[in-house]
Amino acid sequence: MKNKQYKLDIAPGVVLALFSILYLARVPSIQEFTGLGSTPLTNRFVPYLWGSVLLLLSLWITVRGLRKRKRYLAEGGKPQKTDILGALKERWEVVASFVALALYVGFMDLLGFVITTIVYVFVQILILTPKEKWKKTYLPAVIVSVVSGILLFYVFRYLLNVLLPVGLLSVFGL
Amino acid sequence: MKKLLALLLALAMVFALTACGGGSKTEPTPAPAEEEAPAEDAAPAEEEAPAEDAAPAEEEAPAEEEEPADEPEEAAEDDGAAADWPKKTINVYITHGAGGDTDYMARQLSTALEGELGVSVVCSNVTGSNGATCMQQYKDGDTDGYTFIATNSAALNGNEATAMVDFGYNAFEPVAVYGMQSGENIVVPADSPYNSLQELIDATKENPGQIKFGMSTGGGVYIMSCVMANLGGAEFNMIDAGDAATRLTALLGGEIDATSLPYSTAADYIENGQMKSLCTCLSKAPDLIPDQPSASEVIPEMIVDTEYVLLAPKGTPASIVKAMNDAILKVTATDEWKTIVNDYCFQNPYVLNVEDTIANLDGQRELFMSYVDFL
Amino acid sequence: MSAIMQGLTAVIQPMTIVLVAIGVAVGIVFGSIPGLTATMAIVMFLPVTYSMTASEGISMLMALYIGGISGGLISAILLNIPGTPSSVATCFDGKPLADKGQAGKALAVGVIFSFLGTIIGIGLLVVLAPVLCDFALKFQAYEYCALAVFSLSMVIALTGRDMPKGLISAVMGALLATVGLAPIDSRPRFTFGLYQLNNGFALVVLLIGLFAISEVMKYAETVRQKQDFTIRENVKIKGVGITFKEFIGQIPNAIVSALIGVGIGILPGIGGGVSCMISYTVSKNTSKRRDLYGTGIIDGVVASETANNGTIGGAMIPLLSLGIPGDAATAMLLGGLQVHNVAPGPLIYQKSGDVVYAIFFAMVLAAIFMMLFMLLGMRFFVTVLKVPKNFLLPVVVVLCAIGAIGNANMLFDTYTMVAFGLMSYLLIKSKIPTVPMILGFILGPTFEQNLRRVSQLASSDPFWHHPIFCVLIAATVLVVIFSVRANIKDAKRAEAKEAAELAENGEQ
Repeated sequence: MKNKQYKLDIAPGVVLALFSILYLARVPSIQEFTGLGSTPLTNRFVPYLWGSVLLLLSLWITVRGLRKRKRYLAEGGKPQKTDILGALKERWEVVASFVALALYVGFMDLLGFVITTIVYVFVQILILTPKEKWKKTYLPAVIVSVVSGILLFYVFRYLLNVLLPVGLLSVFGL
Repeated sequence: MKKLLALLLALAMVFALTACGGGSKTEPTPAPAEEEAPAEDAAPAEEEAPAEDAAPAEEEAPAEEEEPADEPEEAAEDDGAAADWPKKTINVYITHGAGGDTDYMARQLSTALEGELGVSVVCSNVTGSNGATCMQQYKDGDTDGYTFIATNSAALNGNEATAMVDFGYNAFEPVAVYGMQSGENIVVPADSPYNSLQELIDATKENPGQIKFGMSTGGGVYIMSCVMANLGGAEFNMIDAGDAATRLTALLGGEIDATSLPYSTAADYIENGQMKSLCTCLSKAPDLIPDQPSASEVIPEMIVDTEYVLLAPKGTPASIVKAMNDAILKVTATDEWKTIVNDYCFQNPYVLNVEDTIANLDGQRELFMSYVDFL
Repeated sequence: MSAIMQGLTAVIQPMTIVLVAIGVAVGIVFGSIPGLTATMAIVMFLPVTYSMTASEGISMLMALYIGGISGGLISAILLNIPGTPSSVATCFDGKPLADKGQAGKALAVGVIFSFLGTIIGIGLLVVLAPVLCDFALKFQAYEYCALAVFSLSMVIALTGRDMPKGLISAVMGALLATVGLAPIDSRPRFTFGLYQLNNGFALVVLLIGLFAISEVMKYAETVRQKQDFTIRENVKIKGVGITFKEFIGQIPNAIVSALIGVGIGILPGIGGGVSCMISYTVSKNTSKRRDLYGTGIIDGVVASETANNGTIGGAMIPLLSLGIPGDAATAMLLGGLQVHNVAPGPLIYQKSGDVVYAIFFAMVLAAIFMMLFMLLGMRFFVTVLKVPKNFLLPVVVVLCAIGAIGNANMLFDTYTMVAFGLMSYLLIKSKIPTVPMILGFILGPTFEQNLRRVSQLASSDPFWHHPIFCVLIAATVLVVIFSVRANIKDAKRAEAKEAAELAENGEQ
């Protein structure tokens, strides 16, 4: 039933409305440029424009969501309960993936590309594998993570000159 | 295990290809390259558009930078750091994108230096904000003598003058000025009635706000436009026309009446009879194309000499700076180098020792900073 | 004539042929790996070409360009992650085709029409360059402003039923693009004092976050439901995968798409990311099989892939004849030409005719190699589908991180990558489409820059002096009206269908 999904309108609508208000509130702190060649429409105009349009659109879907909710309740549906914790628990793999990813990029500078990549790839492979298959996965996961970590570092750092962080490995004079 | 095999196979394919590409590149040039943030560098010529002027130096270069060029032993002694330098790969961070003139010159220099120094000199582009991103990131970089920053003087001084950054050349240890750009020219369409900068400026005084000059806000062209308007008394209708490529489009499409373009961009249009150059903005016309008036003949302060500069992070031992400068002086004294700069910059080699480099940057900075009031 | 011969001779040197082959192969790899783009391949190899001859260097760069733009379709079809911004629209029908077990067919169609698009682009470049240049010069601030508005109006057609959410996505893209130094006056906006944000967000990082990271998360959701790890076995390829009849049937679609691609290529600053989406939208809205787009029909792949490759030839037109680069990749090519003292501009045919013809021949050669390599490699590419995703996706993420770092050689971009990934996931959960965001992100700055220029010009140069501007604005109004009506119709039809299904299945 279409109306049942009212939350998919209300939640993003409210969040985006708040976001656009915050965004709009920051616009006046942009330094306007009034020197030679300045334009009648300043560098604040377009941020105001997009910010306001986003605010209007998010209010639109919020209102739409509220009306869906009303209709849904009128049709005899039960109000949907919000259980964010439960939803997160239900998707623990997603949460874990984001945490792993954040730690990966967060520690890359300190520990270096190779170490963080090996750890990350290994952990991420396990996250994406059902628990009951973990036993069979360890060995291939170790191989894939070590090979990809070292190989990619070598190819991109030394052959293609991408400035991947060396980190701890710098003690080996790499 | 089958899965694993398939995976390794896929990985191997991806990398085999990548690696074979990588291998192929190592053979042609020792200094491969890198990255760069596309959109903003849409016009490589853009960076040729810097500006400089003379103005007050507010701060004396620290003592260690002023190491006298004629006393090399003493310099080497004062820290002894250059004794076994260099012994590993030197990294050069280029402030502008691949394909531009700053990048090209830096890579040519690096290639030449590899032969002289006997170690790899690896170039990487760290681009954005007219070079400010790179300078910000590496001004406090490693001071062991293996980190250098290649940029151009107009970006270095211009970013300080326009307050894009709050530091100038003295946040670095300048190593060498190693080249001069072919410069910017003030151009008008061929059918325009104006034949000199003076005529153009006079015309704007007769019809204030009627003649549209395509400028670009924030960069060197901006500084130059400000000089024209404030010191030359020109009363243009200043229109923002973006980077060199967009200014070119706007001039050809008739949206603007005059603009400034890098010589290299404008040359063929001038030859083809589509545009006229009124003057060069260099203090003197490039060595190989000498018959051009300079803007400074009309407005004395209108000088945009863009020079290629190598910098080291603040605190790099003076002896290493000196040793690097010596190497640069040596590799740029060859015929090969002369051919490179003749072909690319229409200039003769122009390389300064450490002392002159600092004095030169200081002079340009003074010029720039004198305009801070109307920038 | 002699210049043509010289150009041909320069290209049929064994060394040049080898370089073109390497360039195409490397380009395909860069194009097909999410996070690494055609632009990046050119940037990385440009300095290598400094030491080659002009023809060798430029031939290799062209090969990288063509290979890179074409390679993007591989990951778009097989992984649902566009390899480059130019293949975003290839996912729309490519992925559903792959899901139906027709990955081979989708790839073959993509490759063949990429080739066709490239060739049409080259043809127009060779024959019509001067005429098309005059057209390009007519596009000034007014026209670009209108073009940006017109292209943004395509969002409405692109999003289908849920218009407000599609618009939200596009506006968010435009809003993200305001971060960094403002156009025109270079004043920082929303940078919170971080100099790393001065450059704004990079398109490739946004692309990674929106498509690659979210794909990993979508898979993570299904970990416990999926028992079957080798997903699809039926990826057999018969012949080239497409019948002659199908090929002929797609010709009109391909020609329209190629023309759209070339047209957008000619106009500096728009690029393949936009051309594939506009072409897809146009193709969809003019097709009799409108309803089937997005469910896995080759028409969609044809529209997207012909257009993005057509953009290559289009972008070369202002580059060679005017010295004006149309996108990041051609900006690199301009640098590559200049270091060899080939000055693109009005005199290029007189002064460096041999190099120009060498470029044409090299492009044709590269297109042929591209088709060859991709058709031969197809059987191999589809094995990616057999690689268990729990192993594949983590490695893809690492490659994306490398791409993000390599974009500006800044580690900071990996943080934005994660942030965009999170944002993308939340948007998908909220049923907000992510594709329009790319359009908003690319076109927002074009719109702003030119709108502000127009505000400067308006007093001395009113808009009615600009017929193209007026036409585009009128077209925008028509597109909006047409699409809104079509969307409402679609929505009603879909609702009726849902209701019918519901009635059949009973209330759950």
